[in-house]
Amino acid sequence: MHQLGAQTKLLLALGYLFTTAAMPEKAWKVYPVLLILIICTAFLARIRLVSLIKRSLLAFPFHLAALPVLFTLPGDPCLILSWSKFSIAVSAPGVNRFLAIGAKMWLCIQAAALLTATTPMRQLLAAVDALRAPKVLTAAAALMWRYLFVISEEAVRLMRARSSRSALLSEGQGGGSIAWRAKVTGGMAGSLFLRSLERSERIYNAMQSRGYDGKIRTLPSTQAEECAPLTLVIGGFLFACLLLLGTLWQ
Amino acid sequence: MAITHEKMIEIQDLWFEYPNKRIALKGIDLHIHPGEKTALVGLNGAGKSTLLLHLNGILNGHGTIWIDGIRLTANTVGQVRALVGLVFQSPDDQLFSPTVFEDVAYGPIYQGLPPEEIEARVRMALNMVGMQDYGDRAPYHLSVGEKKRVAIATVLSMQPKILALDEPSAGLDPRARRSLINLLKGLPHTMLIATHDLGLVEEVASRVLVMSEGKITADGKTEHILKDKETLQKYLL
Repeated sequence: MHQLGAQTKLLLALGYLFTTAAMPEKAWKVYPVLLILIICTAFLARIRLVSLIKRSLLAFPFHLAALPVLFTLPGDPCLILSWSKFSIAVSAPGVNRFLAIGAKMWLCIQAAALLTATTPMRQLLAAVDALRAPKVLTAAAALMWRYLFVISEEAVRLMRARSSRSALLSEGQGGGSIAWRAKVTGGMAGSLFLRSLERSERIYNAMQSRGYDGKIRTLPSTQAEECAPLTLVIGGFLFACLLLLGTLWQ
Repeated sequence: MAITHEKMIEIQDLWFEYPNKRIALKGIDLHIHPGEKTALVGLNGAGKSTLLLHLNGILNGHGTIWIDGIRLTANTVGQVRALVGLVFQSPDDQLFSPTVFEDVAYGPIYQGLPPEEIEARVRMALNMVGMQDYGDRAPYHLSVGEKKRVAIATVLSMQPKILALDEPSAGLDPRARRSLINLLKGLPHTMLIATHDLGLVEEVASRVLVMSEGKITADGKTEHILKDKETLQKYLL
């Protein structure tokens, strides 16, 4: 898996994302197959499932965005929530769609996590570039990747500074109120944002100094490997079969 | 490079005011000859970095700037940027690409050079700073000293005539600082170095400009300025 070209892996991952997203929401028998595909690939790539699952927790907050479908989709109510004079019904189709969105999102995050775990970011960016994605997109992604660590280190330094001054004079109550703590945390987030903003201005100055004129220019890509056509054909065929099965097994 | 009597940098009556109304430069007059290594010293807020940012048109104050005989205007700013290699204080600001190679190639790419020439220039620049084996490395994983060297390579690959360095020895351990001083001594470029490091000034620069509150308050040979206790005390150096 690690030896497969970045372009091939990227195309296969995109195919997987498309297949999962396009899968009919009631095709519950196919979702386990999609999961087995991820597990087999992770096994082949010798990646621990636990680490993949940890990464997929990132999807959880986004899942909350799907909550409204529980209450807004028309259909037979399966649960009625009451509070004082108010009541709201959860519909059966709503539950089905909510669960389907959750499952799809989780599977897609697993695929993305698998791709990034088996492909160095540099190769991935070269592959995106080779697939003729807009250069401004790859340049923004490259900059983001470059400064992600710098900013996270800055955040760690801020937190260390806070911890080193979070002392108690004696045993007992201390540490201030929750509102005060929230204000301090907000101040830290604001400070981090302002520092990042200032840094972005300095980076822009450094880019201008070396000739940047608003247009993204790069060397012709030499790093993206050739695609493996046979692997892509097999992958494409597999995804098409899964979509067909999903349509038939609803 | 021998110092000649032509002027590589000429600045006449340069004023600059920041949007917060702080006047950072107050009528700077300055000329630097080709090959001359000049140090710019002064307290924080004296205007050293602001002056450096004017050399290649990042900041635009009121006044006239000539670089190697070219007057800096909106039309010539591209040409001037090819002549002035500006190395920023924080190498993390200067090194913004995923790999060292791509960072050093950035300037030549924007100069529109063919790929073979770009590659040759990157190799040459990395060789000059002793980082020839680091092309594939991510800048994030380098030490501060290595980042400083790569930051200098990013401008050397543009083959500038002038190097403008902002606090080059800040944050370096003694070994990295020594290595940087040797590197700067060996480079033939005209240099303007903004620094607080008087040891570096003594070893690298032949001339010192003292800045205070946006003005050049002393200008002379390094050995004279550094022995002038009165000037050093007056400007808290």
